[in-house]
Amino acid sequence: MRAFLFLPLLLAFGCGETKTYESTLDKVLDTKKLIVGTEPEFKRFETKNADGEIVGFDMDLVRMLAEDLGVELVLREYSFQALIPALKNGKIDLIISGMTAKPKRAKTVTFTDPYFFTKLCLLVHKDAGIEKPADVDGKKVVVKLSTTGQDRAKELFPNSEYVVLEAEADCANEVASGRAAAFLYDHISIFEASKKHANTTRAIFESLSEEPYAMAVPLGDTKFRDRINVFLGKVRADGRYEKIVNKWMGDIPNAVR
Amino acid sequence: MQFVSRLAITVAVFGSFALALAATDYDFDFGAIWEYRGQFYKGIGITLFCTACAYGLGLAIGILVALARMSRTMPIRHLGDLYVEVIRGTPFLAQLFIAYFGIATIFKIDNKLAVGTVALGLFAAAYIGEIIRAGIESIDRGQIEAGRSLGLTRTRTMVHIVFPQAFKRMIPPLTGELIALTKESSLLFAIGVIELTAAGKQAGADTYRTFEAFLVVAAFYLLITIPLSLLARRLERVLGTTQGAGAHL
Repeated sequence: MRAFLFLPLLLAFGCGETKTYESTLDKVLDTKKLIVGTEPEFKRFETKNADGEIVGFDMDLVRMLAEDLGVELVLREYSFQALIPALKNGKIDLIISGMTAKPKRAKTVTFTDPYFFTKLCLLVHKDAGIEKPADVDGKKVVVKLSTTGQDRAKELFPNSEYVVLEAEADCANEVASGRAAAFLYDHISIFEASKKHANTTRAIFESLSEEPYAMAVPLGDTKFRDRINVFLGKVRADGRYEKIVNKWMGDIPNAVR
Repeated sequence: MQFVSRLAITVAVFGSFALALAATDYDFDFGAIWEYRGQFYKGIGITLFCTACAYGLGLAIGILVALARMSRTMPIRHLGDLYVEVIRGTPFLAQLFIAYFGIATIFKIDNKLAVGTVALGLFAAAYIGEIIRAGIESIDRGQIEAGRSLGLTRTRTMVHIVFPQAFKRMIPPLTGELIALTKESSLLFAIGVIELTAAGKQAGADTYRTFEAFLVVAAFYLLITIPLSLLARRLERVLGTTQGAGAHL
């Protein structure tokens, strides 16, 4: 029982001496460290290679950001669901993890300008007679569970029948085997699937909808956000942005924007 | 002879599984995963470290929990009950988030490995405590009465008569708990501790070879857990022959 009496005391101790900063930007510049949280399980954006290094488009971008701020980059791994708690807790300064800037998320964190747009595209069976997205309506469509593809399929193809599957690979197989005519998903995944099933499928890269990826900073930290936006404008203007898009996404048709 | 038969069955089962997999039209590529062996070894190291430390901590606290639950002092007994109910009644992932984002933040501790391992140990303690308590309470009251009538104190009766018998009964569930904990440690990934399962997920994500990566992960877990089972079985047998006789005097 007595242990409980000590708890408030310890709490009081724990909360004692921290330097408080008006903005995370001040903290980053003061400590000379930019602590970035990511989940390295998104190919081309952030994955861990065989040498244990985290590499990808996001990593190149955030490395340039650290350089621009003149500070050291420190990467910290979390599961995707732990990224926002870690940011809110001050364990990291910034999230970059192929995160879509959704309105719901924007209630808990502040998003920078989008640094990438992922597009909703189609993987179709070669013999399904589909030339353009409009041809899909009325044919069987497969979507992945709880993705934007699933959200948007009904409005895009109101006369189609739907199959909802959990695994991306199964969705692609559904089209490759001819059980479904089309798979509605993001253009990078569609591109990979069309490479894997090159004999039976092809990709239609016309964009049906777009999703912005953005970095997240603590809620309301507009000073830090604006500084990052300035950085994004700078790298887009001087060609460094295009260079890393080409480096990581150059083989995908219609990827750059 | 028994060993040969066991080996034959194992090979037959895994062999047919491998053949069945090979018969599917999935194009296996373990070469891609082989490149990541360094990451897998690191992951195994973390898994072993976390599990071993958490189990040790779990045993130490588990003994206290068991003693508390069997205590004759009411508040202590209730504290032990509360601990077991709260830990067993909530998912470990929730406990981990509370430990890391709540408690550790308050105390300004930021070592993910340490916080995760301690949380895992506290989690194990509730289960281990119950195993110990159940083991002790499973010993016939007559054994205690016999010890007491021979003039032994309560403590000596416990140490020399009850505990040796109870321990033998605890071995199977304690081994089960260690094996469960080995797998449970994979949840530490949530706070970014890259153990074996996480290493497999990451290798899968980088190569698009998640299926192969998880087959490798499963094989590594078996390499850890099967020797533990065998060791426990042997320990049980050894104790059964040496101390078993004494227990039935």
